[in-house]
Amino acid sequence: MRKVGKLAVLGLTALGLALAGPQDNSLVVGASQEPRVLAGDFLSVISNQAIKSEIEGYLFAPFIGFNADSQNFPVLATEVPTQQNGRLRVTDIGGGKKRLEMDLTIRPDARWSDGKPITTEDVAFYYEVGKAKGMPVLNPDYWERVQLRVRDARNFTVIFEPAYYYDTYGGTYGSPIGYAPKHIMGPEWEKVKAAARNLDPDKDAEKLNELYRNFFLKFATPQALNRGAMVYSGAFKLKRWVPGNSIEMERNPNFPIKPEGGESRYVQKVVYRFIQNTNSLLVAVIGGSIDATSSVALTFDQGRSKQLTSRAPGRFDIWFVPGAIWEHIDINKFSNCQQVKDLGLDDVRTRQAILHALNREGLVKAFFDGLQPVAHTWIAPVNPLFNPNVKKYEFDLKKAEALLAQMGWRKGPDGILQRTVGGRTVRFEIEYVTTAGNAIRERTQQFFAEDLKKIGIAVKINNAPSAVVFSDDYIQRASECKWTGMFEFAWVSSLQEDGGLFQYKNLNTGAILVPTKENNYQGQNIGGWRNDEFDRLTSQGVLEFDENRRKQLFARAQEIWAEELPALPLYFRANPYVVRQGLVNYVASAYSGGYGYPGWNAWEIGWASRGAVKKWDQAKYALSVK
Amino acid sequence: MFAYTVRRLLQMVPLLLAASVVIYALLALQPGDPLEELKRQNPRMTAEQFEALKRAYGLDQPLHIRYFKWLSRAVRGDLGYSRTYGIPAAEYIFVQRLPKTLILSGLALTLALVVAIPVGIFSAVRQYSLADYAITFLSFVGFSMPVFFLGILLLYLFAIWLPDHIPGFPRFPTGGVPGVLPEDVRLGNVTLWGFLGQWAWHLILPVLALSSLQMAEWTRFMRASLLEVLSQDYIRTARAKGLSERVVLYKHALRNALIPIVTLVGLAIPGVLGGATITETIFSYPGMGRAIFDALVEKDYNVAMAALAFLAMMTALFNLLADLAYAVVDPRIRYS
Amino acid sequence: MATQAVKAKPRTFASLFWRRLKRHRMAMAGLVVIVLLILMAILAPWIAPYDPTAQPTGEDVGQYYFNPPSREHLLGTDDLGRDVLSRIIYGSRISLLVGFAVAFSSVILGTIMGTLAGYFSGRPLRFYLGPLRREREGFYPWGFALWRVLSWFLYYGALYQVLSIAWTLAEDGVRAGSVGSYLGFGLTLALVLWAAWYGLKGQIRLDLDVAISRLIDFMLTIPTLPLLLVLSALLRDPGVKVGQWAQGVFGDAASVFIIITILVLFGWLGTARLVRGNILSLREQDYATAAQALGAADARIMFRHLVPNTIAPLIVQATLQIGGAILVEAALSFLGFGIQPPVATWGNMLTNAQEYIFTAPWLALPPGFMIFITVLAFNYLGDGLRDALDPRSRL
Repeated sequence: MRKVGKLAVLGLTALGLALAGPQDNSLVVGASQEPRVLAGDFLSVISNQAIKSEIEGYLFAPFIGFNADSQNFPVLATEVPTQQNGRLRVTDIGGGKKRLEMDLTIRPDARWSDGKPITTEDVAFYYEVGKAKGMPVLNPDYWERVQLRVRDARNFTVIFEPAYYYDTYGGTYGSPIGYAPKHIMGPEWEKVKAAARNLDPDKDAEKLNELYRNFFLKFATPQALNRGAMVYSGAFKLKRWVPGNSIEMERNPNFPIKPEGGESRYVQKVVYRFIQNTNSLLVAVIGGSIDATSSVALTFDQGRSKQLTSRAPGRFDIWFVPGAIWEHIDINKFSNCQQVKDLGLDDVRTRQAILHALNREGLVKAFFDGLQPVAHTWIAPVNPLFNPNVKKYEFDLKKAEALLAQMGWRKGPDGILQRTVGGRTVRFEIEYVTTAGNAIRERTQQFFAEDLKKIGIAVKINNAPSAVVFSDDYIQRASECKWTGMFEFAWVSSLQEDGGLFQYKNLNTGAILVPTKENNYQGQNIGGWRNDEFDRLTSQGVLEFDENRRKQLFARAQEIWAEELPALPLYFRANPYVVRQGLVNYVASAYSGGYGYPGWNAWEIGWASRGAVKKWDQAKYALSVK
Repeated sequence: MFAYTVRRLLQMVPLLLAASVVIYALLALQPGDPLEELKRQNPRMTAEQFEALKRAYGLDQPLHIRYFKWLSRAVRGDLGYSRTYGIPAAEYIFVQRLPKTLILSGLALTLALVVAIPVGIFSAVRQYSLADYAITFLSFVGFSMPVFFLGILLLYLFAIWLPDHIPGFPRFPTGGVPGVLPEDVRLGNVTLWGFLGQWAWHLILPVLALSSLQMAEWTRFMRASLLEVLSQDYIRTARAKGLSERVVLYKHALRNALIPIVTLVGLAIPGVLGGATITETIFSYPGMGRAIFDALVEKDYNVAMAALAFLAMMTALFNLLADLAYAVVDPRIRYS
Repeated sequence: MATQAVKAKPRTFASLFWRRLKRHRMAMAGLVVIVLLILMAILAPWIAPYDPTAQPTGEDVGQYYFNPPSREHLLGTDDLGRDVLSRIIYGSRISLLVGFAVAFSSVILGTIMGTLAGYFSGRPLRFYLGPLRREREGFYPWGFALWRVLSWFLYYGALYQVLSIAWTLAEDGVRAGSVGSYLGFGLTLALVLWAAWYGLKGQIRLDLDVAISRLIDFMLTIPTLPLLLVLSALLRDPGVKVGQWAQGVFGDAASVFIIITILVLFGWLGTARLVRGNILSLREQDYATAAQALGAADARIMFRHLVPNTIAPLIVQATLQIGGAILVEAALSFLGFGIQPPVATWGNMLTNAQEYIFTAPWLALPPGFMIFITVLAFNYLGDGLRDALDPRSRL
């Protein structure tokens, strides 16, 4: 009996610590993913998980941040380079290429958590490591285009050549203007360089890779970080990482930006609690041991579940932040496939008819209470390049039937459409593939199959686990008719939009983006669509540094896209956040911080009851459950 | 017996080699390439840049070369690096995951055995009594209950419903491992008992969920097997000799009745090492099952290979041990 | 007592068995439930109140989703407004089919393999002479010849099958033209040739137990999850003929067939080990030796005298396996290898319900309960069968 009592007491004390919240001015964030490494892996060579970037938002401050309104703002730099202040210069270098120069000045009071100043030496170190031979970076195109010029201890210039418009966005993937602590990592790097001196990046690629990884790991594993192997530059510094459980961070007194009213009024400690299973995470949220959820936490349906919403009033706010993840159905348009020719999928009228037959409004209302809006093009409404005035395909079975009748389809004896192609009678039975085990997609699929049945289209469902359908052997081989009809999945509608999802050819690089045997199955235009004007507009758009002209080019490209309908747009996903009432400035928007995570303004997060001043209102960037 | 053991051990070598070839081939045949995901995330990567990345991960070589490379390093104890964690695969599997799995699954197995054997004996001895019916019913409930259903049910009950409705009822943790490290004990942040207590507190629900199936299964088997033995002639003889029921049961019957249980336990142990993917998922427990599942999904093949090859080895080893244990408990079995 | 026995009518084994079974009330209840379940599966189109795949239509369909049980929908509606009761009724078809087929096939296969391994363990000569031989006969040309032909046929037939499957895989090229597929086929060919040569040369020394036991050990070391992923990718590749063949022969039921095959492939191992262990000890018992001395052929001793004595654990094993197969089918749907939607099985219903455990907890209960009650019924029936089959049990 006594033992049971002791256990109960232990449990309660553990709970007491977790429940603290405003009492001890701390914040507990719940996440369903745990980073594998942190901090030392500054080029994301080992891992590029979302949760890693999110937590590093607390530990490291960028020179230029990206706020919830999708605007650049200075953090460790003195000001944002613009053409007006002369710090941003674009020059034509011929051949349709541009060159971009950005001058930055490091804040004089910028310091590492050990008190050492952050200087251009740290910036130079970052670029030296990134450009080392055989470095297995995941964004090689950035490293090939970027150059660094150091002017003095605090001033430097970053040069892009050729440059694209998105290079001017702060803190986004692919264009970070980075730095790393040379005084900490430098000596180890010298050893690595010496060991790598005689290695050939082609022949000894594996050895080099191992060498580099070991270097990053010395400053990135939980053991190393708990030993204090790393220094930080953000509003918080890592105190303790218990793998499988939590990461605890405490305020970094050396961080130069002080929030309104002094930092003692803001959160002093941030704990990330990792609970992989989202149902268990939901239990923890309901149980009250979590103050806010991370960007990688609950699912959309869990965010709306009665168990949560019924307990929310007076305790939590539940937000749905419209995101940039675009759910759509791609269609095989390769005329060399018998199926495609038979069903006329390479004809725009067939695709338009199918889209008219899909009750997307009904779907988002029935499945999502309208919290995830219907999409009309591939660009998210939150993207500055979004064009709302494109052709829209409302749910209209009459129009769908009329279009199909034009193509020669008639109802057959079994209620399924049929027509004669080259002397053969073909039935309209279309393959529909998606990732098995994804409940929402499988549900969507069955919903639409029912819609299509109404106009006489039979659907043959052929799902498999994502590892199977997303393998290059499958998804990239529409040209070989491995999938012959519709393929439902999602792309991220990137802030660095370049039209690459639907280009046949990128006119700036000359790369063919339709995967076939000839180009070794490269490219994302998997359904095989070709429109030369679309290619021209989008290729020109990425070189346009004037925002208005860029918008015009992309607006026209979206009009063509909506007219031609290479894929069927479904909806944009929204990410749910549960935030305890009284927590202020824990705000996410679709692209905040570059990726759409909260914590991009870590130093401003606090409890209203502790005197934190509200600067950002989540309601401006999200919908909430009524 | 000794010669037999040695021969079986020698037979394991080609068996394990064959198994490693099959597993390696299975992993190599997995749909998709470990780097495809990276390519999808960064569409601006050119074909040449992608090839360079492939070289860096040694994926440009043909399958058999890769296998022999792996084998020659593996016999020297080098199992390669985890692609997703960046640390040596051996460290990840054997240092980070295996001990945790041993704790969880080992406790569940022990609990199942400790409950199943006496309860099974009791149930067999009191065949057709009310208690026997109750035990039979409960064990049937045990193994017809899907584990993920039971896990979620336990979570809902002990972490939400009961604490919400009964004031003072302790709220059970929703999963994961406690936030104390072994070093904390050394540093004096927490007493040894406190440390163990926190672990026990976190492990109650997952151990319950995990052991229910085996507990039920073994109770059934223990009962069936003991009944089988009890109906044999030599037991009747023993009874006729006037031996006490106690002696008949524990000296004569039990020894033979335990034989099938020995097999079952022997076969269950590799499964224990392999972790329990579903239970680990529900309770967010970082064990082997989850590690293997994640490694397969994320195509971290060094890790998958290390774990699967290890499991193959353990499976073979415990099969042998089960056979040998057989001979120890059953004098009728002779190995030559 | 003695006079009573003389007067009693002679009873056949079947009537005796039935009489004993009838006395086991829970077993009879189990039998009734099973018969009802089978009837439900057969009569599904007539007793289901709705079409199991029909979704509500019209404006604002969302109101029909996740309805709790009501008068119109006795078990409520699911995530697409479909009637859960109708889906449960239709779902019984596939779940029962999978359960029965897997348990039956793997117990039969496992028993045969386990018996052979156990009986011939350490007796290679006896196996060489064949199971039709009687102890008293010195030489028996016809039985021996028959056995040799049969065993050669089986052995080389199996080798041929292995080779032809390997060739199908290599021919179409899992990755066309890759060195891996050539190497794989070469390796298989070498192994098969070696096995063929060994068969010609050394069969007389073959301890069948070693062969079967090592095969089991080997099978146990093959991890199922990656194998499933590979199979799933292979079977959907239009370039690989195996998948096309399954599609052609079984049509829409191809995925059911594949799942049954995979479950049987790994399902017989446990039974075989269990039976082998039992036979190993039973063959040393006096009645086996006696039967041998009386001139019973090995086959008769094995299947007439020894196997019936292992029946008790076997039946428990089989009943467990039916439930197990139904659960594994659920787990396979969980991993994405299950039966394609919108076809309902208890497994995929339960898996799907888990996703909505917080939105609609009642969705998990019907399939969970059906699986539970089916397994329960089989277990009680198995219990009764065991008692009824066992002449020594006290009834």
